This record gives sequence, C-alpha cells and structure tokens, in this order.
Amino acid sequence: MCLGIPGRIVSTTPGLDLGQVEVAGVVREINLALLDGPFVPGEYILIHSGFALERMTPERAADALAFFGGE
Amino acid sequence: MAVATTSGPILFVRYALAPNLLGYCGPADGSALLAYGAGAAVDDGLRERARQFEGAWPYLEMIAETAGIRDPLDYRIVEAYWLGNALLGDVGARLKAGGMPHHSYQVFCCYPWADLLGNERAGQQALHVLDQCRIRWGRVIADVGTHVLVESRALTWDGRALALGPLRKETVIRGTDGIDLLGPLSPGDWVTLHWQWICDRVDLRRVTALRKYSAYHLTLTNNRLALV
Repeated sequence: MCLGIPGRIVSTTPGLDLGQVEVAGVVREINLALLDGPFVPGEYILIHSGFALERMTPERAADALAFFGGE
Repeated sequence: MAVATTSGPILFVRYALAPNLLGYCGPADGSALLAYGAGAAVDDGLRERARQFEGAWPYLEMIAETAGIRDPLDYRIVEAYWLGNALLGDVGARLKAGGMPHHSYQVFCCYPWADLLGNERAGQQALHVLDQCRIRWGRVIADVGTHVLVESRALTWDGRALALGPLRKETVIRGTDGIDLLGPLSPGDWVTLHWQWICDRVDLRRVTALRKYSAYHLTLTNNRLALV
C-alpha cells in the first residue's frame, strides 16, 4: 500500500549504507546501498520501503511531493 | 474459534500499523496509530490518518463506490482490501493487467520490487520486501506475551517465478511498550502478518480468501515476469 516517496539527502557517511534523509519533513535513516554514491546533501532520491531506488531531479521530486501535499 | 468483532477503522489500523511504524507509509506519528489500534475508539483523527495512506485509500474508495457503501472504512471494505471477500468479485479485474483492488495487487503488481528480483544488487532485498509487505498468514505455535511464535510460508524466487516455500517458524510481534493489539493467542490459531507484526486472529474463511487473492496476483506477476 506504500507509494514511493521523494526524500532529500541530509547527510551520509562514507562506507556506510545508511544515510540521513528528510522524508516529508522527518529525517529518517534510509538505506542507499542499491544506488551508486557519492550522494550530495540536497540531492533527491525516490524511496520505497526504506530503500533509495533511484535519483530524482528537483523538478520531479517537487511534482511528487505536491501529490503528497508536501512542498 | 470465535473471531473478535472489531470496527472497520480499527481493522484498518491493525493492518496498516506495521509499515507505518517503520516509516514506510502513512502519517509520521506511528505511535498515535498504535494507540488507536490498542483501543476501540474511532474519531475524526483516526479517519484522517487512514486517508493519509495514499497507496491504500483509493482502493478502499473504489471498493466502497462499487458496493454502494458510503464509508471506505466500513468493515466489509477494509476486509476486502486487506484479505479479500465477495465485494472484490463485484469490482472485478478492472485494474491494470487484470488486477483487483486488493493489497496483494499493490505489492506484487504495482511496487517496483518484482522487477528487481533478477537484479544482482537488489534481488535479495526485493524478495524480502515483497514477502514482508504482502499480508502473510500463519498458525500460532506459542504465545509468549509480546511476541508470538508462528508457522508460515515465506515467499521464494527461483530465478523465474515467485512461489511460497515450505513451512518455517518465525517470531512476530503482538504488542509493545505495554500496548497489546490482540488478546492472548492459542496454539493453532490462524493469524495474519504484516512485516513483523501480527495483524489479526482470523478464521479459515478469511485465510482462504487471503490465499485466493494473493495467489491470483502472484500468478499475474509471474506471468508478466515470464515475458520480460
């Protein structure tokens, strides 16, 4: 029942799969292992079930967030 | 075995709670949903939270509209979406690729994970998500308080098709922090599972419905993957 939702990278630690990602205003630990790094703070990713599945442009992320009633 | 009577909104909470606590979907304050699930009170706050499950809500509305039932959180509607019942037959296979508005359609046919099963990097996680996010069923072996030992069948992937594997034992959660969603369970009880939580105690009719609609959408997905 969960939809993929955009998240914004807050911080990552080299060598660790988990990154701090802002999702709908809440910072969560998201697993970035399925994508190639490095990740830049502010970059958008598509998240599903706790995993980043693809990178998103800011424009695409904004469109998706609008659907969720976000930014 | 008697199945406890509960309201539709509370039934929705029991099934939606686990991914919400994990932060995967629904409103951010999972503890609020947990509190609703432990009680019986239904208010506007609960209804608003249910609407924030953007993946499930349109299907509840679709089933309700077809059935001529005004409330998408009516027990019959909620049961149809999570487990399956005769209302799905009234809706028919009107979704893309012959799907029906059942949770297993969302998991197997809509999520990106089935297409990642053959991916060397993501395949193992894809199988885990598909298995845990579907509504599973199992039988209680022992209730040890906040945790319950159950026997269930995990989803398997042989490189070509998804299937259910042999019976295995797993430990699942019945309550936490003094909050108990269900009363004590007895060995042999059928239960439904979502991620690591027990959703509900169910009778054989409901298990049969869940098996039927899960198998239907699993077949749709296997047929699609065979063509890739």
